[in-house]
Amino acid sequence: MAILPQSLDQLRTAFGPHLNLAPPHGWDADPVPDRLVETHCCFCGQQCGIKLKVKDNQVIGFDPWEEFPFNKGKLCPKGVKRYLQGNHPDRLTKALLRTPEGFQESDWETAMARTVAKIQEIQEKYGKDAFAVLSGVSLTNEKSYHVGKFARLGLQTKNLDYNGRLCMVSAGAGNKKAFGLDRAANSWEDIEGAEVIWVAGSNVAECSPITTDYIWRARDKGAKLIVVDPRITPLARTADLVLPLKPGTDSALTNGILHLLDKWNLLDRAFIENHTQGFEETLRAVKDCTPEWTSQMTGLPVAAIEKAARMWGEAKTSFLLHARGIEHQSKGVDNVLGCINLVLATGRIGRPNCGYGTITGQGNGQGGREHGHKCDQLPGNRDIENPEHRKYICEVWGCTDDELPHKGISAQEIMNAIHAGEIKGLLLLCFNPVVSLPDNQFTAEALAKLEFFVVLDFFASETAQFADVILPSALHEEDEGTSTSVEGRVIKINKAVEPPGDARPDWVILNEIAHRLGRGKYFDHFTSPEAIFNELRVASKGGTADYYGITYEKIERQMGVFWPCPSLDHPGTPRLFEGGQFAHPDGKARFVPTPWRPPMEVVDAEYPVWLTSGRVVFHYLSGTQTRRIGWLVEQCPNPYLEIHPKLAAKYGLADGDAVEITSRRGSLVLPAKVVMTIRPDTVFIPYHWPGNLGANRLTARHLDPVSKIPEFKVSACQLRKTTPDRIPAELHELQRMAYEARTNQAALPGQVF
Amino acid sequence: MPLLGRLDLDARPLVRAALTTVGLGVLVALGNRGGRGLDPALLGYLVACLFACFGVAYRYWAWVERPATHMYFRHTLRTLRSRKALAALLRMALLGLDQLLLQRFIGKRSLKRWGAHALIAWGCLLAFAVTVPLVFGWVRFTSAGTDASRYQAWFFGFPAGSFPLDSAAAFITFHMLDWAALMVVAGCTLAFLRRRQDEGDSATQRFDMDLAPLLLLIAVSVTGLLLTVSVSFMQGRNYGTLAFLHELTVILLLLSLPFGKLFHIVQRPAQLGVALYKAEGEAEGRVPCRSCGEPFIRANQLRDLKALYTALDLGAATHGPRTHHLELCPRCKRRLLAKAQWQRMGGAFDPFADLPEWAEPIADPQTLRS
Amino acid sequence: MAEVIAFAPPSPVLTNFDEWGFFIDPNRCIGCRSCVAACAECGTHKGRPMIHLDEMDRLYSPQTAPTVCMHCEDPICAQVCPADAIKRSEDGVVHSSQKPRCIGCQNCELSCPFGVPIVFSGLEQMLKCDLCYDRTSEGLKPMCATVCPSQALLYAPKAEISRMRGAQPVREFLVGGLTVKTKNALMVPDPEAPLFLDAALLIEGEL
Repeated sequence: MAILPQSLDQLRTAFGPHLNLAPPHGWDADPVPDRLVETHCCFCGQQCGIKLKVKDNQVIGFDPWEEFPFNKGKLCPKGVKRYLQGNHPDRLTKALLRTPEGFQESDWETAMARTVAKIQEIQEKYGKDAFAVLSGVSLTNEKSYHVGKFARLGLQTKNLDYNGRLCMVSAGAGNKKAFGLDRAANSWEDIEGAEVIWVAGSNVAECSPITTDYIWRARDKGAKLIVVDPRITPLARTADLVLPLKPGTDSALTNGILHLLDKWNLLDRAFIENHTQGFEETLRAVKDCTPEWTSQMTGLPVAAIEKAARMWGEAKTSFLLHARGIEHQSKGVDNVLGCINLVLATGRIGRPNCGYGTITGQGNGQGGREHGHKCDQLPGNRDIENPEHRKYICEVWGCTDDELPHKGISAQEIMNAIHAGEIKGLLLLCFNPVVSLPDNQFTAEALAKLEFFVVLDFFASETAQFADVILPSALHEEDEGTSTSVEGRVIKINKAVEPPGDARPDWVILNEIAHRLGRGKYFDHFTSPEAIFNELRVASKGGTADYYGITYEKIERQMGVFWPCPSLDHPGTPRLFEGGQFAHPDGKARFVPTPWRPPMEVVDAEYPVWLTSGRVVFHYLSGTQTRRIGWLVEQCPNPYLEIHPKLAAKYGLADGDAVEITSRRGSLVLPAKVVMTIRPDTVFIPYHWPGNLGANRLTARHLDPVSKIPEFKVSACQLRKTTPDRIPAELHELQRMAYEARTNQAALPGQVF
Repeated sequence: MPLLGRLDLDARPLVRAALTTVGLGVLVALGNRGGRGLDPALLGYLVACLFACFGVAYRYWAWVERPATHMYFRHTLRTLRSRKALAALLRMALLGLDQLLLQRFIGKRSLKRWGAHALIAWGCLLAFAVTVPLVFGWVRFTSAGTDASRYQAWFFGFPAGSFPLDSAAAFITFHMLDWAALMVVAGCTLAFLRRRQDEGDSATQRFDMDLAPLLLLIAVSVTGLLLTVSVSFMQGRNYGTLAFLHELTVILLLLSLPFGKLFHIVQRPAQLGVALYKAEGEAEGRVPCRSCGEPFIRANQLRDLKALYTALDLGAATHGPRTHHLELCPRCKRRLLAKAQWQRMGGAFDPFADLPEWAEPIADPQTLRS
Repeated sequence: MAEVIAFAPPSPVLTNFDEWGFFIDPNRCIGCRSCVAACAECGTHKGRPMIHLDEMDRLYSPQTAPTVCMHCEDPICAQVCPADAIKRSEDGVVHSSQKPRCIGCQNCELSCPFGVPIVFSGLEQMLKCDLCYDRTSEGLKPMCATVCPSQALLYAPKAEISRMRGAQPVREFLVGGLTVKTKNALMVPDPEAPLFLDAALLIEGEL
């Protein structure tokens, strides 16, 4: 039974999060590094180049890598402090086994034997598919590919999915529908020359900070910036036009804009005629989407909607960027398609300074969604139900079609199936669903029902604490491999240090499990990440995400290679769709109508306030890493409720007051942060924390019917002012830790001002 | 005056320095009973000491006259003349123990730096404590009457006990300078090593300001130690040459006192005055920032800085008749800079100002179909 | 269809210190505090950041402002220093107070027109931004300007700035009625007029 073996306090004492405050030997040590390792940041899909300073098998600091073309030395604070995730007091170096007294350290053999025995027991008793795998896309391409193969051929289960399901799937599905291929259409270089930049549902400044400079460089040349977001983010603050719409009304806005583009004849008819399909049908769908209707739906002034349509329609070049704000919805795919419709209608794609891109969130959010990591996918972004595709992969893997499972269920559906008792065993890596899935009490209940739960992680995350066995895995800087950045640029992660103790890279652990399960013939030849990559190259060959021509040597020489790269002499493809050639068999892009659908949950008399969630610049996703880095916690120790003064006044709230936020799933008590930079009908909570500090206690398990992404960004809630003593003790503990970090850091003498 | 003008020397500090030097001369003469206690071999050192005294005094008086320095100097003088003098002196003595003798604030800057600095500082203090009285003839040793195995010590011309030549006391006394020299050499070596390792120091250090004093101190110590080596192990060979070299390095060190890094020895006690000043200001209270209202600047410092601004021709730094730039806290000054730039860049907007509706539930979202 | 992207050559060794300028555009700042994080990581600062990052007024706006030393031509901090401990080197860089001299009196901290120097009370010493002298003197960019994601802090050849940016550098400031000239520049649309720092911008009502 996978309930927590100890109290939360005991677990926190044993596994943290504790804070790493200073480099290995303290601030005064002045060590001279043995070497500098050119690699990339592990936080977020920008995959900025960074150099790590290494001494005596420890990462002791960072240095900017100014030669790397994407970020040219620029880094956000997570990147600057990322080296502090190593040499961490919470780091797992031995396998842990759950016992009635709590977690006990174990030798590797015992932990491994128990894991394998349990897998076999559950699969014999309940069938192969009763054991599921949940994975994540902070993993390299090699590991992502390897997990996909491990689940299908090692465990022989169809039920594999990944946390990209909470991230990139709406964008991926939209891109595949419209373009026949799933990748940002351009390298970021094209942003710089655009006349108009449209940013929808993306807090660029906090979630992908390096992209800010690309946007500013365009603005230096006169580009106009339109930002669509219910909050005034740091980028929106200076924008030429801000469209602070109601949460969950993005497709209404894009429909309204398309309506105006048609009405004012700001369309590229020739492009539509020659390079697209489905325009007439789409136009019919927006026939009634007048500015007045759009204004009513989105809560935006008619003038602002018309201004946006003018700015977008009259530009000669443009770049459209979107991210989770529009994708984390039960119509995430529709929202993406609505944006793509605007791009296609003006024909501004596939040529210099014209482009479109979705900003990936996780470290390998792009590459990790291409190579068979998803429940319905095979390497090279192939379809697991397509007989041709299955045949090719069976050939590459040397298995029969019978051996290759069919389509499984998605991440949230796996959790639902666990809760329903249909899935009995789970192997999980690179994923912290207790924090990151919606409705976190449901997730905890589900995990408690597992008969056997094994987790691979370098820290005992909140999810790992439910496990029966925790196997210590390697950090980003402890293994090599490739990942694919937001631009579709395949880059090389280099190994800086050896993993400590019994910790080892995930692929080594999975190899061993597969071998012990008697499936070694499919895995024993993987002796290095490069060996895995070379099989991935072949497996992706001929798919839309074709990596065949990419080699480690070529990546290092060119500082990254843009896929598709079908042959060894091919330099890679920074800009897709040139000459209006799209990836559908007929070479044409598809317009897809996006008739209005409301969010699954809307505000009403009982739950009258929109709730949305998002990130802060100091934390990465579920915070397993960043909530352990002292300086980052110092800057943002705890969650809070962002609320407009008008709404705050309605509930008698002042800045810092305790407020109880209740949705149909549960309730939280957090301090209020009163700011005028959010819609007065909407509140916002950053989501990086677990349990009763987690925004995901309130969010719903409503999924997009196509992408199966949960609707994180739109819920209805009610607010109530409450007493400060109801603020959870955990929040005070976090503030105390941050305070200590500030005052203790290297015993810094006080600064007067 | 034309000569003074060319040398860029000021008259008042010059006079004060001359008086200081004459004063020291008188004290020397009194202490050695009109020259009777003087060791002729140390005459060169005496002359150098007097020159150094003049130089240091000139530099000190000139420094004190700078408007900014005077602000604090005046305050300390006033305190010492007031009824609070005794309490102030006691406080300064305690602070002096902590800051000048133990130098604990340097330990907070860096432990390595403190180690090096303490060895050098205490070595030098010890050496000067031994040599200055000898050079001035305030202390001397002679054979005790006819007993060649005993030494007689004289303080200010008065007999002050005798001790046997082979006693531990004698050994320690006569090798005091060797111990001091060893401390200084060790300290300087540590300082060099630390400087080589510290990225900040290796970037900003200058030969004349930071490295030359260390080299000079090592030269003085090593030549001094060689004198002992010559006497103890080489039957006095090369003693004359070594003595000359030692004298040369010491004189160089003395004469460099007013110019280089080592002048901080004379400046440092000002820290004690600043501590008094701050304590007094705290007692008087802090004045709030005119912008954010947070108390930040001590009332006495605000008053004195305003006067200082006027003296330095910075009086124009005011906003309207009532707000001096000094009355903005550092954070608000930074915000003012950004705000001024932001205004020039076009200023703000409030995107929520003209939203048609807010906080109203959608009546029936299901029926709103396109 | 394929085109080789032009890879940036290795970053130029920044020869001739004088030809490079530091350009600050607070308007671009996104408040990520990367500059603060990186400044503290620098070998010379040992965990103590020398750059300031202030929220302007979070109630009204997410605007933040980074402040580094402007490196005045005739630094007021040096003029008001009783210990004569603040020196400007020939290249125009105003350095941290000299360790042996600084007596921690805070005159500089209270007088700087831009609110830059920091006096650490236990150290009895003022520390401030010295343009990363250890880096710039070796031909590298200052740490904050290297990492700044929005390039609100920009270190670039002076000759290229007019091409790189819409706004242009101003190096003259009116602090109330006092003119202050600096080595580092702030970016404004109309660089001919000095930037007027008028406290009325912060304080409503009578001054």
